[in-house]
Amino acid sequence: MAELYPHKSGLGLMEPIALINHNVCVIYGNTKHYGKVTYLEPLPPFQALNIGAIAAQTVSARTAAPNLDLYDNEFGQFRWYPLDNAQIKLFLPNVDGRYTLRRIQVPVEPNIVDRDPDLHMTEFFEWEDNHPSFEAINFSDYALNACRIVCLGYRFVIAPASKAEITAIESGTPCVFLVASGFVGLT
Amino acid sequence: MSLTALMKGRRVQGDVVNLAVAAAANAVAIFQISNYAQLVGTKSVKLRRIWLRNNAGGGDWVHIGTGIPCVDAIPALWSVNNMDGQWNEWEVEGVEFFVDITAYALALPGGGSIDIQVEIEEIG
Repeated sequence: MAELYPHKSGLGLMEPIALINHNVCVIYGNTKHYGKVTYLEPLPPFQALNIGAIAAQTVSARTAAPNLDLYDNEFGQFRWYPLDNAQIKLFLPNVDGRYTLRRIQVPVEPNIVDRDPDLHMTEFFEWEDNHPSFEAINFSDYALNACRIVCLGYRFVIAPASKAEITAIESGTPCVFLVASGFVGLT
Repeated sequence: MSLTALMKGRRVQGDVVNLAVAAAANAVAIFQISNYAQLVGTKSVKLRRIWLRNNAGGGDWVHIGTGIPCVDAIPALWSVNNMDGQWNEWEVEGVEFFVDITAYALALPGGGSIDIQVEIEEIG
């Protein structure tokens, strides 16, 4: 099996999390979706969302990104960066914050393209049409005319696994496990 | 030298600000640092470019620093009567500011004013 794993952080651009015929398990909430990849295609960098104008020193409304929706039995692997000067928080889906610590939720800024040029640490996975939402903090003393999010990544189609295949995976057959939702920590 | 000297930040331009009243006590903010409570982390800025337009009716010194009254952060710049004055980043010391940048014109001899705009590099 190829050396593919989530948030792969060696030098280099983005790689798909799995290839055709690889087993995957997409964990969404408490549900595990097992399957075998039957199709994948790249998604070049594109503007997935424009949150819109934001007044100075204001937090935007949490804004859904339905442009990232996928069909049934599909998942997406995305990396992203903001174009405009704001701190952006990711929620996946709308209520579950990503990149969360006990005290803060880590935002992503445009300077991510300097600090993490391959955007490894922004990577997230989306199951079907459970799209993420973004919330922007315009910390500056000036208004933003737009708040645009650029995404890139891969689209995967999977064939759901049979019970026997799931049993085999749980017994050790190679499989890539990935998480497609946030996790609220335990107190 | 701090590590931030090696860091690449985002370039942001301030508004065009009119220095209409002379003296340090009448300094005005030419770039405001965010103090927004929702900001994660602390931002600072480095001065990178300065543009002046003298409508003062005479040459004058322009001071850039912090606070009101303004305390100089770089040497005063001479603004020639009825001329533009531009300083690029290889001519401007990259002084790092953690509070608002303020400026004032020293005398405004002809009773006019001086426009100023700065470009900063945002760190943090």
